[in-house]
Amino acid sequence: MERDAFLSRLSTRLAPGRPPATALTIPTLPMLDPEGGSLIDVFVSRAAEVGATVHRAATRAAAQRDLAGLLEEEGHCRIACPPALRFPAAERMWTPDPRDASFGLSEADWGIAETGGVVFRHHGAMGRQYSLVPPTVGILLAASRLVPNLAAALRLIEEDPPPACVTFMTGVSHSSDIAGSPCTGVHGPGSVDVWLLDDE
Amino acid sequence: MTSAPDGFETIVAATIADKELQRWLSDYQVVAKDWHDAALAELGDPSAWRQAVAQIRRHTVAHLDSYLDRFTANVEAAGGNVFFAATALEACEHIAEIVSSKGARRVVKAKSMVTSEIGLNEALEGLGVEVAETDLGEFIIQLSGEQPYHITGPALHKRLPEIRALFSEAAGEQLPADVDSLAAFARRALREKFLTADVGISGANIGIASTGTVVLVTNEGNGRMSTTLPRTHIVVMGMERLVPDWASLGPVLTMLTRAGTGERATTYVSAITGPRRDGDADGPDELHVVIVDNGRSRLLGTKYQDALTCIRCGCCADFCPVYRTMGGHAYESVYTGPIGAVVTPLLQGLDGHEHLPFASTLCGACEAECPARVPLTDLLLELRADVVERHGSRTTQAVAFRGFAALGERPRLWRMALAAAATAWPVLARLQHRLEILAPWTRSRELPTVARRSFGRIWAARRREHAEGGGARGA
Repeated sequence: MERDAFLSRLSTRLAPGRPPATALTIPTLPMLDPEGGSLIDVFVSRAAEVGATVHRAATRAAAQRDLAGLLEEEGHCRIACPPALRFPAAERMWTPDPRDASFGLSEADWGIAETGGVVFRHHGAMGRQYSLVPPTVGILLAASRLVPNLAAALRLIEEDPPPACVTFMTGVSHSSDIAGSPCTGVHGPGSVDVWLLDDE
Repeated sequence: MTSAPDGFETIVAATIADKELQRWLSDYQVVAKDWHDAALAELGDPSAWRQAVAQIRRHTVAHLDSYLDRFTANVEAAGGNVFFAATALEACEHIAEIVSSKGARRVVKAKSMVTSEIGLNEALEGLGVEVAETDLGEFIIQLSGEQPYHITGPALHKRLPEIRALFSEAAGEQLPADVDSLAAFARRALREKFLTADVGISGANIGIASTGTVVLVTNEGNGRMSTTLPRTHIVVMGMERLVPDWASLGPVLTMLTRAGTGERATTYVSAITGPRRDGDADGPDELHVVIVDNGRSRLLGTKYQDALTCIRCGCCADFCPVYRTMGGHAYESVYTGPIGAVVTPLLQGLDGHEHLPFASTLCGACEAECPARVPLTDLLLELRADVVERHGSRTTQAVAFRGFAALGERPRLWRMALAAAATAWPVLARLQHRLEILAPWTRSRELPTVARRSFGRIWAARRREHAEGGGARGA
């Protein structure tokens, strides 16, 4: 059906007696709102509750050293990430194709303390697949980019026109669809590590 | 009450007789309630959150024409295509056209109730296109050829041995019986589909009008996979699933997950605005949004308009004693639970569905927990009234109610009738299940017990005793 015909049917049905089209004002709602150090503590704690492991790193270089150690310890041989996140210690393992990789590395735009999750604005080289396709993923997140709750994250997202995809990722892929019993890593990664960068 | 179709009565009887399933459903509701309550308690004032969601959704539906217009303009501005489907057939034909134009032989689908509502899988399979359901629960019921059992748990009723058998048959070998092995099989089998599918199809949990953004929530990752890897992404969206802007997304998304699955957030929330942009590393080249009416517009401007404010969290079924007893398949619809009893007759018409509004005790547990404050009991009562108006009251019912009203207006006759009933009760109690005239009631119920002495007589006796200066208490 043509758009105008479709919408005019709705208008005809809605018009009698509907309230004027004033802007919607959402009431202030009680929300989690920790500050400073407690913001980090809440994020770390809630990330753990959803299966993610959070590592504190004083600097990006320290995070990369830590990550290199983890890659070796877990026996990863292929790591996929946006070019800007490549680092020397993992250079020999780097692959451009996330489908080829056992480990994917991304950088999040924000972290949400309320949920223990992160937010990616996927644009340009910051592809979606790095945090989705490999079975194990790592995420870099500047500690200064932690926000207290979902509402705060949405306000930040709305400041700019959205890219083609924004992903909120909270913990590991999981399901209870098989006889009500929980399992992880169903389609997305079953192992998620977050490096919180203290100096950024 | 209208007579239920034989299919409904057969399914209900079988579900009640299956004691293991009854325990399973009961246990499920206990766990779901615990998760739900804990997740909402964290909000501090769940009632305020429910009110906010209700306000957002009612406002949006009341101005659905302008919000849909805005949404459409923004999808197109972002490079997407929008098609308006008045009917299920129009939607399926358009989607089939897109799929055919791509030469697609395989489609991967993220969980989408509206695609089941319009019969999309059957339409595409009729063209020789393989449709792979990728949500684990939908994958299970696709293998078993069943309808979904619950809005968020399509395979809720399936127990481990059944799932093992289904997966083993699909695998062509006997799989281990543990959950992790079965999940690993599903991951392997569906990973191959994701990587080779030509088209990804999803629903839309929410659409954001201000930016033309489609929001999907999943825990497994299949939503992200289906909307990232294939070159073409088709979104099928019920026309009412909008919110005005990102600020209003917050309360709706929060309550969708906390009320629906007892989680602070689902693992993945994808907010998709158009196809990939120039220079993006990945994402589909094309995005098509199909906006589906299929009977929804008939509810606008009527007493049923609030039925469109549902956010499809599924928690009404989690609190419903009727759902617990008769199970999800009794609704014979993709929509189950109390909301299913409301929207199925509204969207598909009363023919064949008249019994659904009566499949409720009207206890209101659903409405009390509904995150969007959908007035479910009122809607069920209105539907019942519509059914009665359609057929008129049955003669026996009409006579019975007139007789009841006549007695009620005549206190002396009322007292005489009660006394007669009390005298007859001991005999009636023994014979109730043998009297054919009472069968519609006594088939699944006992007659209410008639007290030996009515409250009125007890009260009158106590007042006399009191007036005479005390006396023995008790009847």
